[in-house]
Amino acid sequence: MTLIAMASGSKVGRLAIVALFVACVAGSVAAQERMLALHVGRAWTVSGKPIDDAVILLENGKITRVGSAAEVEIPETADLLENPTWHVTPGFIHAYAAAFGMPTGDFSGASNSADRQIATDVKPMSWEVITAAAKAGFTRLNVVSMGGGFAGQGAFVHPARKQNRDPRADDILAGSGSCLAMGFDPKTSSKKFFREALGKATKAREDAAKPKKSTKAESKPESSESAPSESKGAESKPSEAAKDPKLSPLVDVLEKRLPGILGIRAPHGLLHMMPILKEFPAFRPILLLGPDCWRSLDLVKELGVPVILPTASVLRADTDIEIPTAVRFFDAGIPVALVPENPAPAFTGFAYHLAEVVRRGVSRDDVLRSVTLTPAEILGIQGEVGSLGAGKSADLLVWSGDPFAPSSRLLRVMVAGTVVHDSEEAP
Amino acid sequence: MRHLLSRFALVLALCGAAWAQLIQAPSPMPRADDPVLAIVHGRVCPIESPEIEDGVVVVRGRKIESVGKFGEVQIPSGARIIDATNRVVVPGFLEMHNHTGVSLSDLNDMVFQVNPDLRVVDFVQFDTPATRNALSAGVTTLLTIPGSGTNMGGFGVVMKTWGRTRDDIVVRFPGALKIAQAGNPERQGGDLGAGRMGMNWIIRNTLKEAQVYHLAWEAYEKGDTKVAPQRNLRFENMRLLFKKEIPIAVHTQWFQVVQSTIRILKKEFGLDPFVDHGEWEGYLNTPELKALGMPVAAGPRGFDYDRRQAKFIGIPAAYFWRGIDRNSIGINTDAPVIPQEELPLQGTMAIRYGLPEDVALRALTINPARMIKLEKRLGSLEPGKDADIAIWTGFPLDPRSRTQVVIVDGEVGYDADRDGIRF
Amino acid sequence: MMRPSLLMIAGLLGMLAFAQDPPAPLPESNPETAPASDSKPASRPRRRRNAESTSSQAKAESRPTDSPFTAIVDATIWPVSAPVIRRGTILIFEGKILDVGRDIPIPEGAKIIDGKGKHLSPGFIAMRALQTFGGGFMARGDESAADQADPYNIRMQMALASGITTAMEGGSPTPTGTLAGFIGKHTYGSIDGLGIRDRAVLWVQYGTTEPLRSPFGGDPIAPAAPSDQSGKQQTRDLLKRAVEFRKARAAFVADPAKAGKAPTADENTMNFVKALDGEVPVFVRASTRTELADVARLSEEFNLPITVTDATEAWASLPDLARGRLTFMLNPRQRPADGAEPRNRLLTEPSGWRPYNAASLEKAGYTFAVQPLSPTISTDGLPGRDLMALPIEACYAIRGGASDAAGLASITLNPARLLKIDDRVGSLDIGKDADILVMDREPLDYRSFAEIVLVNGRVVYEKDKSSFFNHIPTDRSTPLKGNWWRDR
Repeated sequence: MTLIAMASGSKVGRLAIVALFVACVAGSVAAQERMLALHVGRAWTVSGKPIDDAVILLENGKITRVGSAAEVEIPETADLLENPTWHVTPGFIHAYAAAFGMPTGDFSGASNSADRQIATDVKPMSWEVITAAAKAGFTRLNVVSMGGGFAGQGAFVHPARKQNRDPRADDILAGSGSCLAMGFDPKTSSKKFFREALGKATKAREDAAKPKKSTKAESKPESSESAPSESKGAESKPSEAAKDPKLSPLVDVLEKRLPGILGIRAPHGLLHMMPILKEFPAFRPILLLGPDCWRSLDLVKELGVPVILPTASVLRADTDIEIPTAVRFFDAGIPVALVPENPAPAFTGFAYHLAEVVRRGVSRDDVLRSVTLTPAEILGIQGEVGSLGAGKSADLLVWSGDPFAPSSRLLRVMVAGTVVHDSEEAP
Repeated sequence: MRHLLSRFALVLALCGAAWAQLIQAPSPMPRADDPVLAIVHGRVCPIESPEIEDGVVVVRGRKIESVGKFGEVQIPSGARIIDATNRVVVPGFLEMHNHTGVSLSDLNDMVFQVNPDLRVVDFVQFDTPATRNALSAGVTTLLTIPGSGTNMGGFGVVMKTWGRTRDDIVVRFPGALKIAQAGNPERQGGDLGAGRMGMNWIIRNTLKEAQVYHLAWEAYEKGDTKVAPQRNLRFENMRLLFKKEIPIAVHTQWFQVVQSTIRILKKEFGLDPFVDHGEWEGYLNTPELKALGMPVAAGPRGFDYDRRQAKFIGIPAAYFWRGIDRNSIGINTDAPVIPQEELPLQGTMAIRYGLPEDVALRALTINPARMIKLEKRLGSLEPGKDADIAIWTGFPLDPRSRTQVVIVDGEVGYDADRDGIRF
Repeated sequence: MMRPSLLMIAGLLGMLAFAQDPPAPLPESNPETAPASDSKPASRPRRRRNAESTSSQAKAESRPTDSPFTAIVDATIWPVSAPVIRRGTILIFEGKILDVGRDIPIPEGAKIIDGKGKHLSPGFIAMRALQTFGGGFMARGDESAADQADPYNIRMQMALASGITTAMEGGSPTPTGTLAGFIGKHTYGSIDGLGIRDRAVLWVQYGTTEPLRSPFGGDPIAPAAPSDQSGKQQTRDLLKRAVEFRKARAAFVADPAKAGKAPTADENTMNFVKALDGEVPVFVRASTRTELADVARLSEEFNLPITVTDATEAWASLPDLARGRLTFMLNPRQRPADGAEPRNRLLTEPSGWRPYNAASLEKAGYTFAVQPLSPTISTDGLPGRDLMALPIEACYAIRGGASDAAGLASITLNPARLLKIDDRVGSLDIGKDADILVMDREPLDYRSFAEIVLVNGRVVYEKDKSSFFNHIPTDRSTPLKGNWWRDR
């Protein structure tokens, strides 16, 4: 057991920790073999109540135990990091990052790139960009392509520890097919696009749900309405349409197999989308909203869907009147995932923006959940990340104090037990 | 005052050169054989006294002879009668910030940052389309001032909108000094005066030099010193400011700028500035303006849209309801920013955005007259005052009303029946 | 007011109020949504028979319900199409005016708006507006402007606060005619019933030679057209083709077998066909006497109804104008910057602007609509020249001698007629959309503010709840309300 008595402000002590972390990291490139115990002032589990005087045990990139020091016994074999002023939170999850080489376009067009897996296009850019994400506290990012219509399927990315070579996509990729990224701008063409696509996908679902025995006699009247090529497909095999790579992701969204994120930046966009959403009750995507989205609050409530809110948008309004946008959404009980404004350079200042949201009346618990467990839940990865609990990936942030206090610093960022950002080493 | 003036005139005569003098139009007192005009049966708003339902205004020569109830006022035999039944009779309107009757290209000489030696009077035109339109909208007196391209644009002139000769229309020169403390003069780049700090230094420095010059001459005129100071055309007209004979029309629009107007022009030099071109949130200075008795001519912007409150705040109304009294508020057009003939519309909109109707009427008549120290001559219907009278078809600030007859210096300058409806 | 439809709908109302069936569930459709113009009595909800409660205002007021009826009671009503009704009632149902007049029975449970001391006017109509449907607003090709409109935007709120419920945006003239312009309603917070018509007007430039200038000088608002005759010739050629097409079409309809195949024409020609059919209005700018005479001749030759815009010298052109089928859209104080007469004219020729321009058109029997000097909503502070002062512009027409009735019609019923939307809006008539201003003074009083604005029967603006003007009291001799100066 290695015990480092933390003398706050002691340079020697800090260097010792750095040395320890470096040692841990070096050892954990393959897997973290030794157990690490964190004994800190507070662990924000998010899934449960914050635990004061908490111990978190990490092993093989996973959290094995979280509890109060009174309950959890620290094994003799574990390395121990101890500081009573530190706070630990789960790593932040970025629910909608048009970063790592992805375009940050607008939603004005309406084209179908649903079959595009952007995991194949993710560019690691540089270690600086990767570190910037880590520094902002992100341990998992849902990287998407921004655009009108269907912009492609997103990919999960995590920051990685800097190495002495150019970064590779493999270093950061954590999974593909994270979601279907969609974009809508109030326009006749966009409305037409969504109506048509949803019409086809709905029909494909209905066809798939029909018993296989469907005969020609039965399908004839229907086929006369649709184009000959489609009817032919529907006749031979009902699920053919669902196999259309440009359509099947949407079917998956309707079947709730794939999270769908619909970007609507204009405050009146949702108003224009509502008739379509009412027409297709199975289509209930996560909404990415923009400035002045508080105007859409009642519609969001009516739909009962989660929202992704860029912090700058909820902190700013089109008039100089400050409108407590975020509070309204939280108070309405709508699941909210807060994200920084794109693109990547806006990662910086994210913690500050979160503190601003707290200042505008949202509780610390709610804000923390909105960047951890809520995005994990809406993206369907809550079993893996988003909270501190046994069995979860050791994606966590070590803070020098209360994460939302202006004096607090983000000391360490760990992804699966690996330190990807360390404030002591960082330039 | 008269004593001082005559003494001043004497001194000037002794000097052998009339450098600085207040040029007042002749405005002779009426004689018994002057033509007489009687406006009868109108609803008369004398402004300084209560409205008269069936009223009479008698004009002899260039002056108002009497105002009163029909039947109570004697109408001299041989008087030309103007029937104003169902009409409203008000004084001609005055405007304290405009560039009407002069060529716009001549308004700004911007070689120097301050130009107190320039004067508008040299290029005033009379009977232009703009002054004709102004006249037909019931506007009879203008303080036409230089532009705000520099910190001191020069001296403006008080003039009528109608007359037979140029000498006829000039009421007083100099009318007022034009000072602009921010905004337009900031256009020059690089030199001193590009920013407000430098500009205010230049204004103060110029005023200081003028003050020294004035005191030197005053000492000499009083006999305290024996040697006459050297004449300086640059500061000659500015002596009138220190003698408190004319005011300063200050283009001062924002809160901070009004502050510097108060601090420099009023408190430091003790002059008579009035807030001209009063706009935006300048009204926040009202407590201080009120305490110092500084009047305000608001416009051409009639409202300030406050983005933080999402509120349309009427500027004259804001000045008024924050404390500028009903005798100290004026309204202007900055013509041709707002066409001169739409001065009444500025009053209309002032009411729409919250100014009481009677105050708006004062803000176009007696109040501006007081700002330019001519309230004894202009701005209300009272015996002995200039016969500048507009006969309206209804309440003058209702945009549905128009003038029927406008009288300037006792003569019918505009008659809708005679001249056709001009505006 | 007494039209056949009144009796019909009054009968319907009676049926609604006294139907014998027990109360049926309300229709699922949003009562705020404007229904189709054809009446569907069968789908209307039936009300409980209760003769006592039908006209009992007090009871209705005390019990707010989700009744589909709204009644504005005890108000002075300016229907525009009819004389003023004092202490009258307007009954609204499903976004439409169900009844107007005095002694109107009010269904039980109806929402009541107390109009005591208030004046009801039709919503004002802005014939040229900018950005009241949102910024960056454009509709090309197959795009519909209604699909882009932002009914949250602040300029729409400001337009409503100024009493403007309907507006047209876009459109600029060409010799071959441009079918453009979007007519919509300021349905704040909703897109239901927002769009009225896209590509609403055929804008034709017919040999206008002088640029249109702002009264404040500066660059021209609209450029001068080419002075040669080619542009005019293009217009006339298209109209000739349109006339031919209509003849061929009539022959085809009369006897398809004999006529052979159906006639076809290119898009530009078809636009003029629509104009000749009376489907779309034609707007042509003409300011001077020469231009006005030209347009009148064009109208006469092709029997084409034309709305003339910017007709500055109409007052001097009445004999020429009489040849055409013309209506007018003008600004009553659109005049040269320095008040001077136009140059290059013979001094003997009556020319230039006159305050009585609109009045002379009225006296000659023409319909005219008024537009403000600027089609924007300006927050810059110069009051009385933009959309927010639309009623002030109507006042200037009256100032020049137009009647009060023509003044109010020039911003309500007349623009509706010129835009061919008078079946929907422009007056407070039975069956029309319930676009109503509840004003604190007469509609054209310069101090008047809309206190409540209804569009399609829905309250979209309330002065007291909006920050724009809620500090301004009706009685101006009382102080501005609130702490408006504190928050600076």
